[in-house]
Amino acid sequence: MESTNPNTPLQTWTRGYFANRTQLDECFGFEGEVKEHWKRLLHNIEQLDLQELKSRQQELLKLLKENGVTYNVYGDTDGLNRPWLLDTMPLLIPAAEWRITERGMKQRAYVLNKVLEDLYGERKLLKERIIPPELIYAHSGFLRPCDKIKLPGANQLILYAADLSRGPDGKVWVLKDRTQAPSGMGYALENRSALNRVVPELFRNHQTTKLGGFFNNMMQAFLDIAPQGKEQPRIVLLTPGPRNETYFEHAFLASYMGFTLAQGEDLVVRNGFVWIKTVEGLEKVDIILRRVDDNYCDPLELREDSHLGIPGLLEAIRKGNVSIANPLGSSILENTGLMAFMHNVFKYFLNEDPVFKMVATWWCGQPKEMGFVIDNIDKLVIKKIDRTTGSGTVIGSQLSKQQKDDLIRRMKAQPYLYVGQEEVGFSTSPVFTKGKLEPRYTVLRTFLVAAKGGYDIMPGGLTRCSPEKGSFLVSNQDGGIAKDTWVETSVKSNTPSLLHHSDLKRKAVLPSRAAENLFWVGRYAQRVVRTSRFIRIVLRNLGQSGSASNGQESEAQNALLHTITHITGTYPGFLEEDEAATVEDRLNDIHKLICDQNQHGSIVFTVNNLLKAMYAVRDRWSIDNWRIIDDMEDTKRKLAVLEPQGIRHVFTFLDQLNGSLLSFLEMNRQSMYRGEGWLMYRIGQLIEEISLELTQYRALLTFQYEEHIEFQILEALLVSNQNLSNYRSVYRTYFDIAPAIDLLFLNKQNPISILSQLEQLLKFVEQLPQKEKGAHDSEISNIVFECYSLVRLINVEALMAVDKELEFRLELDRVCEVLSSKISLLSVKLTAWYFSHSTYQYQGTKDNFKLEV
Amino acid sequence: MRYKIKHVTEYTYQDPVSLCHNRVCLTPLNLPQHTCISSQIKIQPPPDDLTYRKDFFGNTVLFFSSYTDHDHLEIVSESEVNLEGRPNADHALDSPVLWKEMQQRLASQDDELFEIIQYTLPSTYIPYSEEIKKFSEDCFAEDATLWSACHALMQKIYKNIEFKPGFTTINTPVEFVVKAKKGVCQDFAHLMISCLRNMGLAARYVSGYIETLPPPGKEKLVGSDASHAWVSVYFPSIGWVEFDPTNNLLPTYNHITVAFGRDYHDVAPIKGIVFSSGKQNLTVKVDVTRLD
Repeated sequence: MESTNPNTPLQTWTRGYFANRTQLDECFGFEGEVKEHWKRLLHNIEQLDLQELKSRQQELLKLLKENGVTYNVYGDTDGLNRPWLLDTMPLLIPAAEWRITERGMKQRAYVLNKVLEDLYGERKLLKERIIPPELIYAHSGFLRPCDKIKLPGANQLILYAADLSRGPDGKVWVLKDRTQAPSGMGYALENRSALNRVVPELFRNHQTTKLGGFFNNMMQAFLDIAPQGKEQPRIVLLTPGPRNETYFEHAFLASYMGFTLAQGEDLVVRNGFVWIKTVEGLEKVDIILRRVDDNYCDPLELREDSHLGIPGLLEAIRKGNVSIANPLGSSILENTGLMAFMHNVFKYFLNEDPVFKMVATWWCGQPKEMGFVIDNIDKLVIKKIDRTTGSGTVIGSQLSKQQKDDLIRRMKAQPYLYVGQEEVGFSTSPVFTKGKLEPRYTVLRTFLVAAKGGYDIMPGGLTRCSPEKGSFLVSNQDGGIAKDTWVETSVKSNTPSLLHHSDLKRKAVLPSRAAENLFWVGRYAQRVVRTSRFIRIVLRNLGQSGSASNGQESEAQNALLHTITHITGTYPGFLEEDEAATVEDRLNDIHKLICDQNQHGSIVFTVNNLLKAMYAVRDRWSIDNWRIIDDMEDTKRKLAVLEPQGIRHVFTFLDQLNGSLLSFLEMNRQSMYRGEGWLMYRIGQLIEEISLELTQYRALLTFQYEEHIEFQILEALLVSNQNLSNYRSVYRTYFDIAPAIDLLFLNKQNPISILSQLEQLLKFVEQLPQKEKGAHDSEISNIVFECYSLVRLINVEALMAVDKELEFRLELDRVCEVLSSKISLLSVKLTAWYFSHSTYQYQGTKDNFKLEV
Repeated sequence: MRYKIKHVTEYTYQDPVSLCHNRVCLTPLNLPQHTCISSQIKIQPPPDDLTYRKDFFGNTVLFFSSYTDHDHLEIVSESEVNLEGRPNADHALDSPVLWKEMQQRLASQDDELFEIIQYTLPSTYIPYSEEIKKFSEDCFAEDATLWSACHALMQKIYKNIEFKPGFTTINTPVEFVVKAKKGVCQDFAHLMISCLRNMGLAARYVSGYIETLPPPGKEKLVGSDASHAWVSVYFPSIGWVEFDPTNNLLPTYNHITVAFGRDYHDVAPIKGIVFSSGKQNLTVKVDVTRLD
């Protein structure tokens, strides 16, 4: 009926959709008719006109980008933080079909759990030849040190994900299992909330099951594996760090679930327990949710070159003092060769056939199967049994004769490493792109979590579609499009999607590494604001005088340029005498100091460091802050590609950058939780402010110049510190150095005077957590107190005294120097005391460990 | 024959170590006619945490950790072993099994061999390699018995590879050892295991000690013995049979077995992680004394 009227929006959008169609489509039948369970959704979409739909699609991507939803791509520095693409069209699954999916996935999870338990336990599957022993022993995921380790509770496989697709026969197939640290559930949740926010009209008249309940079940699953049934366990999420492809999700889940986000270096094994290093000392960890591959988790017993793990972890697990999900060694289930034997395994444990078919798989470790794979290589996909060794998947028909021969030779040499698989059929589903719908291959990742007596499934999942029409590549690494996944339900679901953390009433902790990053966010943010403001003033100055004085540099300009070198630390820089330098040369140099990201101390360089520190603690920023961070990243990119000729535009970009930064700082001032994190961040800011100010004052105010030069210098300084109007309102005189020093150092009404800032710093350092009663704590506040009293007792007259011969204010120079060195000592002490990094190495580096007989 | 073994490992650290975790595999095994009468591992400074376990392969391993600053660590393992011979070796000599038959039985996944099969597969230090295969091929005559093939291979390695300390490290690949024709005992052992596995046979790594005799007329020096490594090959219905390619002999009364594994990686005498960035210095002294 819908297909008869050529004027409906749907008709326009689906023009060309059905050309050359051979695959099944999730939404449309072969005649182009809309399947029953999609009618309501398409009706809702038709209510929005094309322009509206397009702009909603834009809005959706913008929202996800601002929320910081990204997927990192390895080996691609610019690809770090690739934006997440989400389609406005969800994937719909009718209730009846979902019931089958649910049954099939729960059955599969049950069986895989049994397999895992057996392989690290009795190994009856091998003894009784249900699975060929070679297939297990040759797989890199069979970790012998993990033998006989069991998690408390009924299940070994805690989290499980599987990719499903619909074959040409209309049946659902299992493509692969993800069993060690399955990713995607956080993205699924984020997809739902973004779609709900941006296109609420779509949801009209739909009953879609909510996802929140799944995360509550997940929390319960963790509580069930707590060591010795501990009631309020501390749970950490172990991430490989900000460079990992799904780091967004690690940070997202950690803050959503109330877990502490930790990297290997944040954790340490002592007295047989795992501890997290916090600014207050060590806190015991009970459960680790890991996103680190199992081989990398303990350099003592597993891969010794890993720096992502925790030395001694396996022993702590064996002692039953910490539980890890999924257990180490569970990647053995990701063995593609297992697919060939799963049918028998289902029979063995359940005496049932699997609900879902699996991709037909032939393991080459058996001579007959090997023969079959070689004979049919043109029709098959050849894979290695594990993901870690060499290149993965090869499509037989796409190989040249030479490549085929090579492959067969390698297979014959080590047959047990290979499988042949049937090429998988996919169904398509409509993706909204360039103003119309296009059919794209579609894969659904489903998620399960262990529960009492079985498994719970997330009602929905992560749907991913191929990035291009006709392409079979459906993975995040290759760039793909995600869809929200709707499971229709007849009952009105009332589970609030909010988590109740009643079980996790533990005090939040600040890991030392997070503290350090917050400290540096404070420092770098202030450094960018201060240096860019100062450089901007000098640049303007230079521009004006460039035309006025025929390129001759004035003494004032010289002093200002020197100061730039001092505050950016880019020695020798402008300190090198260069009589011949033209204004053009100076502009080029300054351009470098702003835009060159390889120049240590340049603005873009510092912004990069700032962003890095921000990403490393991304679980601590609000969504609003993410929007600002995203803007900063954009501005930074523009600055980094700005040509020297375009330096005029630098003002706009620097203004944008500072605008973003000031909003960021203001947002934190208003809403950041006043805990230890805030202390670290504020102390970082103050240390940076004070030390940059001292550097400026020392560079600009110690030399005695003629009055009109001093006038110019003071004006520039006061403008850059935004103290000019303060100065005028207080002193109302001509610029003079004595009142300026009073304002800059001593005036308590001036919030950025050295004295005011030291006063604040003193307040903050006194609130620092007391790790142990000891000298270190008072050492830190003593340093600040010494600075404070030194400034408090300053005698402006004495400071102003000029050595006639040198034309130099010796006392001012001395005071600045003493203060500067005390402030940098403070930074060093904080680092040593609160952020201490432990580096570890192998005992007796293997190279000098020789056995000699 | 009764032996007393004293194995002293001493680390000194340039910067103090605040924390260390170690895994020690220095306790001799109990085997038929090879009895570990006593074994004791003493550690200085005394560790804060200490646990004995059996590993996947049945070896005894000791885990220990220290949480107190130290700039020096001494691990002294003292044990007494009573050695009456190696029963499997005598049977193997008369075994009529052809190496081809053994290869066949392993390839067809014979029930008896379901655990043994893992010793035919590559492992950390034992790669699959065409070169290694070529090196050893002439030892595997079509109709050779398993025993004579192993014996020929042992001799070939002994003749071709020069024993030269200091030339290789534990990370030197066996392919390089074949090319350079130099190495120490674990290179000899790894090479022989590699050859056997590349021919589809089951071979494992043995870590232990050997009694060495001083040159005629000289006193034996204290601490002059060393850890040793050799090879064990699986013979059907007999079991594991040992070969020492470094010395071109069949271990009987002079080889004391500490541990079995797929290669060095599974049975390294001491593995440890120390929290310190400074340099470390290591000395190892081993004494094997015959008591009767």
